[in-house]
Amino acid sequence: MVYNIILICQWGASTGMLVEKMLEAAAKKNIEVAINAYPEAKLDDYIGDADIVLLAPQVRFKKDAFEEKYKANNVPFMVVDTADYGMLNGEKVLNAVFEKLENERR
Amino acid sequence: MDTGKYAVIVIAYAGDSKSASMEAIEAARKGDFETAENLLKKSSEVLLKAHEVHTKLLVNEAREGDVAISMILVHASNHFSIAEITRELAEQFVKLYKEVKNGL
Repeated sequence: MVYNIILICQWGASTGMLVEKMLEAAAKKNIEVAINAYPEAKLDDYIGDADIVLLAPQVRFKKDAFEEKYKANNVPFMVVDTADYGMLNGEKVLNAVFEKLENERR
Repeated sequence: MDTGKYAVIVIAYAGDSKSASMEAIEAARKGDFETAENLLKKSSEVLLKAHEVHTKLLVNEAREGDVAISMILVHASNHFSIAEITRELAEQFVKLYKEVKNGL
């Protein structure tokens, strides 16, 4: 199964850089994943296919509202650590994603 | 100096600050003023970190003369301004909720 990870930020701009780094990290680990960044206004269109939704620091405060709104989708939301985001540490973010997905499965 | 790298750090801290400001307003709305004040404090602290990096970029430009302007730098400044404004307004909102809940 190929995991579909989506990242949400205000305009889907800077988060695109993190996506590149995460894809690089995934390639190094030989993990096949789909990772895309979208502005929050597009969440409606893409959440249906997502396995996990990552939130950039600037939209962290909307986590509760999103979880409520998309309850029926049963998709976990996760906030990207500020330091990992700032350093564009794709590998650490990817590891956190898989840890979260493992926990969700249990 | 890798300005792009610093720009992303500004975005991360500014974003963190903005979220903390918004969370402060939400806490105040619920009447939890202690949490609201702590979040405002956190918002200021991370905004200061963004500010330090932002200043580093400005000093670098002053030192090295013309620095190539990239979209990511403009974007970082945008996030920084938004975080500052949100912080200022959040303080007012928290005060307002306090007054409303305490019956002025």
